[in-house]
Amino acid sequence: MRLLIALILVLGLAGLAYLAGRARADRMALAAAGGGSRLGTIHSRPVHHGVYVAMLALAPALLVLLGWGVLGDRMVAGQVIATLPAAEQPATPNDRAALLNEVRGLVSGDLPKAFNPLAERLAPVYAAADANGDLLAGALAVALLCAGGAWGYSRLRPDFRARNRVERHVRTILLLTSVVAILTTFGIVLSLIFESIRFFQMVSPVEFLTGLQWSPQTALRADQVGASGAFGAVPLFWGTIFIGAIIAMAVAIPLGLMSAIYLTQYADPRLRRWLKPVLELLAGVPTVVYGFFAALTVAPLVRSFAVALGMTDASSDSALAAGLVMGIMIVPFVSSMADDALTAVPGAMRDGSLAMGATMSETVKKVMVPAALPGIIGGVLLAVSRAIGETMIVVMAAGLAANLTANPFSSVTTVTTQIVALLTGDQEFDSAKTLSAFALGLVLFVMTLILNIYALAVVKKYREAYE
Amino acid sequence: MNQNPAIGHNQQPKMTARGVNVFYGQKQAIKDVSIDVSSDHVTAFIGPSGCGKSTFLRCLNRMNDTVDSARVEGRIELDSQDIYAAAMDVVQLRARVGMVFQKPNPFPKSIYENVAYGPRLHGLARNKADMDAIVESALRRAGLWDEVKDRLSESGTAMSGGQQQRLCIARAIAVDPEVILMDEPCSALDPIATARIEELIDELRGRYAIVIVTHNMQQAARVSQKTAFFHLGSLVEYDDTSTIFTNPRETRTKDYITGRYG
Repeated sequence: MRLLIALILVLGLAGLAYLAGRARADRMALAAAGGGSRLGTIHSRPVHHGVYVAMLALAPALLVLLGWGVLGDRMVAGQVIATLPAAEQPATPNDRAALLNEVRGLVSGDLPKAFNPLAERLAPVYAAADANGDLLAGALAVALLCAGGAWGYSRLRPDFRARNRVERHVRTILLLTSVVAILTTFGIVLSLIFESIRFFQMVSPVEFLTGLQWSPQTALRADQVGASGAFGAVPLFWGTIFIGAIIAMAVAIPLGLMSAIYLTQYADPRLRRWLKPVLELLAGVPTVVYGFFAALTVAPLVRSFAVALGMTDASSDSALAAGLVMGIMIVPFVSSMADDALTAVPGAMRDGSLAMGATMSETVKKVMVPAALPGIIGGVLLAVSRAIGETMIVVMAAGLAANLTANPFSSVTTVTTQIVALLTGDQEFDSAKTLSAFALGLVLFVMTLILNIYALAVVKKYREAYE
Repeated sequence: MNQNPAIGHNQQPKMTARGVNVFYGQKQAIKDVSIDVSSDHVTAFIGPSGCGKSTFLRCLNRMNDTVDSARVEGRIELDSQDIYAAAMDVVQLRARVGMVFQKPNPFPKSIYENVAYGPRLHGLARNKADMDAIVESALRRAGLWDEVKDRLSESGTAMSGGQQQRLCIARAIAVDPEVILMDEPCSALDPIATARIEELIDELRGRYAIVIVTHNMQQAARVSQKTAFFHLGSLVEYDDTSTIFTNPRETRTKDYITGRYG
């Protein structure tokens, strides 16, 4: 709260800095012009001078506030603990964290009363230290703001190149924002790796990657039944590939490719103008809606079909139901990539074939599709990586039984379904069962990463072929 | 296959056009063009950019059908058959009237497959040996056989521009057409490759009715026996090449060939 006030104050002052810089530039411009044309008398427009001063004022102040926001809590905690006599200091990091949690609870008012009397004593100390810190940080920020603003203001001259300076800083800001996304991804990957390492200390990676038995229930009590705790993930990998890469692609590749061929080669431009967006709307349907559709409409149909075929024990969850619906979901990906690839084939190829007396379908089959093949394959690979990472449909329609089977009517499970099952509900974060979700996530991440890199390489190479 | 009439003694034109108008949407690109194309000559279409010479060429094998907004009026005949009649199969027509484009456009296939493309489409070969013979003879006639006979399985797109264009000519003649339309076939080539193509056109003369669109008046003078001068969508003058270049009837023709405009 106090930090928010500081932030608003800083932004307000930066606004003033902008106005001051701008006003000074205005005066310089008027003085330099001496009644004549304003153009060419000062290098940059007053706006740039203002923005330049505001930037110099704002940057250090924001850095201070950000640093305090991230590190402040830890500094205050250290300070507060240090006020305790040595005998009363918490012995283990866990005790320390528990104590500080209680203190913070008391200070914020979330906790009416603490278990540890020490916390009661520390609460006012903590509150004072925190307020002090916030005040100091706020003051430092404002001081830096004034210093930066004053320095920037003092540099303004008619020939000062504020416009170019601002341009350079804009580039830095844009760079920083793009780095944020990359760093976040790195952080996600690192956390995945650390949790996976904890898992692999309990279960050998060889067992995990080659074992055929998946049964992650571990015993809570020694005498519990059915608590084998087998972590062979092959059935999950198989289920993922069976649904995402085999059944879904058997649906998505023909539908997507043929609709792309129709749209690019046959369709009247007017028809194409509304058919293509409609097809792409499919990509905007929330996957959970596809999940309903799979579980409530397709799965019963598939089951009754299986029963009609004579499979009396057909499951209501089936690989086929999930795969079919996922295939429909993926169609827009395949068709839009295939559309791009076919459109990029030079029209001269098409004309050349037509001028040889080929019909349109012969031309498509013998010239257009072969020429666009790398782009189409790239699109399919991207679609596969999207399909194997897809969660909602398989959670709702594929089932939880880790069967290693090629029967599309039986229930199989996928990596993503298992991750959901492992991490929902109350979990202890030191059991192999819970941690296995991170190992599964890591494998899935690596799989889709490799597919994406390969697909992008294929697409790029093909783009180069036609410039 | 129709027999090509004896060289030099043919009175019956291979293709005739009467009163042809072409519209792209509202815009008229060709105005009332009538012309005869004979089998024993190379016919050149010359004229400044946008004069409609390429558009008219593309009417002769109905390639304008692929342009949605294009509309063709008038009558164009191939051996006295109306090529725009309902009875005319456009696939058959294009097999009889081959085309070579401005930019070499070999398919991204092997040299062999490029040449075999047309014969396969139209079922001209009964077996592999037949096909080999067709491919070899087409490549020989296009003057490419000696250069590529040892690398028939290499990609057609990996060759030089001039070789690619000769491959496209080989591809066109592999189906033994009666007419070959060439739309500025040398404009993307260097002078040496251009000379090679011009020699080839001269060698093919008499076997096929050849119509070539060119920007280059020297080229028209070198390779053709008949020249048609187009301007603003109209056929201004059509006569023996020597007459057009030495003694044109129309001032517009004279101005163009002397470089006054265009």
